[in-house]
Order: sequence, then C-alpha cells, then structure tokens
Amino acid sequence: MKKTVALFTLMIICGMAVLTCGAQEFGAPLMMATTTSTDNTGLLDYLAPLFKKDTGIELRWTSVGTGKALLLGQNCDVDVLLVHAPEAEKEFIAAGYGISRMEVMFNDFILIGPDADPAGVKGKGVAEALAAIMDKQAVFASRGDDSGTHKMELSQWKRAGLATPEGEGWYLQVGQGMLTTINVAAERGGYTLTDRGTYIKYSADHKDNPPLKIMVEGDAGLKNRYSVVLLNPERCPKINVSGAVAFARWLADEKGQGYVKGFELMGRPLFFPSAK
Amino acid sequence: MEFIVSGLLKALVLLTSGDAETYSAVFATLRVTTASMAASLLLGIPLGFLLGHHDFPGKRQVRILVDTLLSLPTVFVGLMVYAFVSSRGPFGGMGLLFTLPGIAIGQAILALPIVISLVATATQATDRNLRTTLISLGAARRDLLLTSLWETRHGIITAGLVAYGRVMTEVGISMMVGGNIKWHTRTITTAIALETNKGLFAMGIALGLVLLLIAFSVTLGVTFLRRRS
Amino acid sequence: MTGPSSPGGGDTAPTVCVQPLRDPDMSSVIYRVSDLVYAYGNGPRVLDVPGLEIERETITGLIGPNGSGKTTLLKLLAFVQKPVQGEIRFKDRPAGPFAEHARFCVTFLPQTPYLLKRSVYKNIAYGLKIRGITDDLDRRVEGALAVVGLSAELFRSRHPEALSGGQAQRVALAARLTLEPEVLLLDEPTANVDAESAHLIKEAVLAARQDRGATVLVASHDLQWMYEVSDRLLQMYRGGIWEAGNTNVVPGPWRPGSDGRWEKHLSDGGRIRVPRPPFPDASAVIDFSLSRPECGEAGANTLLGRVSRLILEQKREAVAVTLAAGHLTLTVRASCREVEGRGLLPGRQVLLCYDPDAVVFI
Repeated sequence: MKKTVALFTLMIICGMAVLTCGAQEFGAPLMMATTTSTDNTGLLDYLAPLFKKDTGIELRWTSVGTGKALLLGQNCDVDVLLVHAPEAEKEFIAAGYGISRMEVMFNDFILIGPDADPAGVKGKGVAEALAAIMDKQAVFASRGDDSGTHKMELSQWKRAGLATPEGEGWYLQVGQGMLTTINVAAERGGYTLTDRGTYIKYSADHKDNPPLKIMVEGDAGLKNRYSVVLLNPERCPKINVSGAVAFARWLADEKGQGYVKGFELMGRPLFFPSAK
Repeated sequence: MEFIVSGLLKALVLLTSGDAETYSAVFATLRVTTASMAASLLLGIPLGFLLGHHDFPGKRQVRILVDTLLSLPTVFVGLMVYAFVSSRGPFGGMGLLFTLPGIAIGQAILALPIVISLVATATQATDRNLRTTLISLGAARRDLLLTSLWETRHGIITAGLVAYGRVMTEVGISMMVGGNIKWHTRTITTAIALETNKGLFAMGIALGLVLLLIAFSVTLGVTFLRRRS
Repeated sequence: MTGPSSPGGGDTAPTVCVQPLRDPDMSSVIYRVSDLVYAYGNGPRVLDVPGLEIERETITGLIGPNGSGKTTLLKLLAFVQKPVQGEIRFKDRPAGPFAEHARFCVTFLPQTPYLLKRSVYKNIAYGLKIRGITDDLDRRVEGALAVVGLSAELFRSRHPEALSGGQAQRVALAARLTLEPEVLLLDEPTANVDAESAHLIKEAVLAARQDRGATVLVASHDLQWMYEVSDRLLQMYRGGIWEAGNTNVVPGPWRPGSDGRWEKHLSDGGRIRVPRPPFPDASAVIDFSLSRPECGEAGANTLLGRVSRLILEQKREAVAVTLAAGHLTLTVRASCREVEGRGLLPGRQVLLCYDPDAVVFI
C-alpha cells in the first residue's frame, strides 16, 4: 500500500514536471516589455483579447521599470516595446537597438497632493509649485527609478531652474512603481508627480475619493507620450518581427486607436490616441 | 488594518468562486515548485549524503561553501539565471526566459544548497554504530548505502520541507526569470507583489493566505507519510 | 550449519556462509593474525598484536581495562575496519571488510548496538534478507526472540524507542543469532543491561557454541562470567595481548634503586625491582608466581601479597587467585590442589616471586 502511494506520488510529480515543459500555442505569441504604469492601468488586459480577436496573435507582456524594458529590448529578450520615455527611446534607436518608434497615445502628468496642501500649490504652474514645495520642504515622493515618469519629474525640476533635491529629507526616492509611489505620498501627506491614467485608476480604487487630489494640471510641459518601439531585426534575428509590426500597425490604425479612446475608468478616458 | 480582515474574506471568495486568475497563479506555483523540488532533491540527496558520509581532502571547505550558499538572495539568483538564459546569454537559444521551466531552474539552484546541507547534517548525525551494525550483519557496500539512506529518511524529509518553503515563497527569481506574465508565469508570489505594488493590499493578503493553504496541505501530506514510515 | 557445502568454494558471490565439509586435515584455526597494528591518524598504536590464533568452536574471553584495545581487536576481527598494518587470515585466506568468504560467516555485537528505525521483526529479518533467506521468516524471527527470552507477540511490532536498554541488546543479539553465524564476536554484551537480560544473553551465547558449534570471542568486565565460560582467556593492556595466566601489568612510575635496578615503592612498603625502563612512566609486564624454592633468596625478587579473591576456571580446572600488594592488584593461577595445599584463603599473606630480568616494558 505504501509503495503504491509512493509510486502514484512520483507519477504526479513527473507529470507536473513534464507539463511544465510544453504548452502548445497556435501562432507565435508576441512578447512585449512595457512599464508598470502602463500595465497598472489595466490597458493591456483590455487590449490583449481585442488584439487576439483581430489578428489571432497572443499578446504577452512583462511590466518592469522603463530602464529594464529598454534593457530587455537591447538584449533581444522581447519582441517589441511599449514605453513612454521619448528621449530614452530616441537614444535607443540612435544606438541601433531599435529601428523605429511610433507614438500611439498620450496622457498627461499631473501633480497631486493632500487636501491640506501644506505648500499651497493648488492652481499654480508646475515650476512655481515645485519651487513652493522646495521652499516649504514639503514631502515629495519621487519614482526614483529612471522610469519615464521619473525622467519627466527630473526635467521639471530642471525647467523650474531648481537643483534636483537629491539627499534632502523631504524628498523620498521610492524606487518602485507609480501606484506604490502614490501610496507613499499619501501615507506621508506629501506630493507626487503621476500620469493621469494611473491617477484615474488610483482614484477608482478609492471609490473616487482618494486621499490625494489633483493640484496642478494642464501645464504644456507635462505631456506623457507612449510609443511602440520596434527592435532592430539585424541585431535580434530571433524575435517575432512580423508580430511586432502587426501590433504597431494594429494599435496605430483607426480600429486600435478607437480601442484606446474607448478605454475608460469611472467614465473617464485614461489615454488619448495620437498616432499619425 | 482592515485590509487584513477583508483579505481573509477575499481569500475565501477567490477560492470558492474558482477565480480564473487566482487558479492560474496557483497552478503555476504548483508546477514550478514541483519541478524545482524534484530536481533539487534528485541531485541534492546523493550529494548531501556523500558530503556527510565520506571524508576527503577539502571536505570542510566544501561544507563552508554549501552553508554560505544557504544565504543566496533570490534576486541575485534571478539575475544570474537571467544572464544565462537571456537572448544574449549562453543558453539564450533554449527559450527559457519568461517561462516556468526557466523559473524552475533558478529555484532548483536556490534549493540545492539547502538540501545538500541538511542531508549532510542528518547523515553525519546518524550513529556511527550504524555502519558497524550493518557490516556485522553481512551488508555489502550497496546494502550499506541504501540502508543508511533509509535510516536518515527523517532528516531527508526535513531537508525537503525546508527547501520547499524557501522555493514556494520566493519572488526574486520568479520575477526576474519569469517576468510575471499573466496566465503564463504569474505565480502566487509574483501576483502578491503585483497587487501590493498596486496598493491592493487586501488582494495581497488573500493570495498570501492561499499560498499558506497550499503549504499547509503539502506539510500535512508529508507528515502523514512520515508517520506511516 | 546454514547453506550448502561447496568443496573448493567457487568465486561466485555466496549468499550464505560456505561451510567446508568436516575433514580431519582441515585446519582447526579459524583466525590467524600476524603483525596486526591499528592507530588513529598519526596517533599512538591502540593495537599491536604480533601474532594470534583462534581455534574453531572455542569461546575466547578478552579481559582488560577500558582503552586496552579489546573493541579495536573485535572490530578488526569482525572486518568492520581495516588494520593499519598486518594481516588477518580467516579460514586460511586473507580477509578484510566486505570479504566475500567472511561476510556471511562473522557477526559482531557492539557494546551499544544500533537498532534500525523499524520494528523488531524487521530488524531481525534484515540480516536474513541480505542473505536472500525469505522463507519461513516468521518462524525464524520467533525462534530468535525466544532464544533471548522475548515474547514474539509482545515484541515483534515494537519500535526501538519502546525498548529498554536490556531489551534492545537482546533484540540485537537475536538479530545476529538468527543468522547462525560461524563466528560470534561480542563487545561487553552484558554491560549496561539489567540482570535478567544479562542472564539470558549469557545463556544464548553459550547455546550458540553448544548447539551450533560457533566460535565465540567475548570481551567483558564480568570476570566471574569470563572465568566460567572461557575455554581460553586473553588479557589486553594498551594494545598488547597475552594469555591470562601469571602475566600482570605493573604501571610506572619507576625510581632508580640500588644495584643498577629501578624500583617501584608500594604503599605497604613492598618494592618491585626491574631493569632500567625506557622512560620512568613505562608499564612493566611481569610474570608472577606463587613462591617456590627455585625463586631465589627472599627479598630480591619476591613480593608479599594478600589474597583477596579466588575464582574457579571450570574449563581448565584452575583457580585464578587475585592478590593485593599495596595498591596493586595481581592475579596468578594455581591448580585446585595447590590452593588447598597452600591453604590459600582470602586474607592470607602469600609470597610471590618474579624474575626481574624477564621483565618487558610496554
């Protein structure tokens, strides 16, 4: 009896191990690297089945920091990128890792903060707001992870003519995703810069009454542009080039752009189609 | 604080309602941990036995090395495995990155030192008289090896349980090598990390409880086996 | 005996102990040891036996203090360990650990035997299974338990944790006796056990020799039993081995004495004189005997001792006389007649004599 049980257990173990090794797919899947902000909004969960329906291709993605997404592209570990760091993307292509970038959608960045507004920034412009925050030494949570959002934030300090508050006690470099950073800001009653899409999701999660409210918006310099970046097939011969191209085309086409526009939370769109 | 209670309730809901995402993560976790445990036990038990049983020059150094590897950070292992299975790495062509087998390899590396070290300790703790007794009853070398292994079985089972605990709860390797891809390489632990990062703590707790439930069932099963032997 | 006899003994792996046909030309010596040495690492020798022969179907007793090398000798003869130097011939062929012609013929009961983590039944059946004996296991196990006085129904399913020290020892002995070994080696089988277990173990050991003609070597501190049961008695000290007779070991320290000799002063005022030792703390091996006219003039090489114990060695019709000389304990042998004639009784003062020039140092 004991031997039967042991044998049976052994068979299950072998079976599982074998199962691990082979799931059959029809049509090569498309592997994408994207950022946590993009993924956290739920956009890809919404787009993937639509993409499958229209093209038959299964979209798989791993969401990491912008820096890592670009590295994965550089290492040819993925087939295509969907990121929002225009300067870094341009460098990526200039270095020969990517062959093209196509802007597909945008949203904007907003400065959010607590109701109490200790630095008094509501309604001001971005540069003014940041100066006030620095002056009052109000808590500010930064992504601190070289992501698109982080780069945007750093460029704003620069635009305001202020030195990056590196090492200051009130400047918290969280080093993690957008929602985590927002949560840290909320916890400490401070401010942070976020993309609108994530904020809408965050707001929805808190049943439209989140602890942090929009303080500054609409400033021209706060546009957050998303692009599909195609990798260089000469450098990455093994990647799914046709799938990547299909995805870029699909998202940029009228249909794809329509899907983007149609993605809403709490009745508000998170992204604005911008493909030309 | 309320997220702990709501987490508890959510766990029940997830399990009983057959929530697809949750079950996908559960099966991913089970598949990958079973594979990695099988590999690490198959390799680790004989190696541990040899390490504990025989005397050879440099034995102490090997032991120190193995014991040091008990503290391998999971992210470190994840990074190392990524370096090897990435497209640019030596094993790039094998399509292991972002797959469950890839994670299993990393987890096996994590578990191996645990199994080796604990089995070696159990082997050494076995009475010296065992060898004397077995030879005095007429055992040949093969009998000596097999019977000694069987006598140490409790220590071996403990080694397996400890390694299993480490492997089931790790995030670093699953994240780095698996990529946390929904339906494919999202395990319970990476799902917890994701939900927590999104600020959905209740979900994180719920998934954590599911993980504990699995661990409990496995431990129960093993304890049952232990009693019967 | 077990198993078929195959004259000439083939080279195929035996599953039982091969018993050559009884043959008057067959050597009666089952063990022949030459230049046997054992030491741990680079340490001092714990065993140093230039020569030793053990005859078949005899019971040899090994006595001596702890650390004298009894366990080491038994382990080497059991082929549990390999000697550092020297050779052991078993049935006229050189043998060592896992030797095929010895493996199933020799069993060894260590001082603290290890019972496998399984039932008593399985422990006893283990050796049988290795030999490929799977028929009649129930009967064999029951029989083995009966020999050591344990009820089969009560004990067959017990696990080692549920046994007392004495019961565990008996089970271990049963596991070996059931194999009907040609050679039975036992290291302190009755130490650390209760009186009833000790008694049963002694009976079983004797039966092994009586009923099945086994050759037995036993090390024990139970001197009474040793004297009673041994056909031959060997004593050991610091790795050396001698026939137990009149040989005694006298430890140092030695001081320079008169006329070029060194001596040891005893608490009762007596002195033992020896030649110059290699170092002051050396032990001297001295043959003492009850004084006779041939001993020489009194004083120079005699010693006064007080009889403390007399034990009959049944097998050899001799009496072991233990005497106290100061703080030393010495043992000499005397025939029953001699004992009567000299009126040796505990408490009597007796003169012993020895030859200083025949003293050997170890």
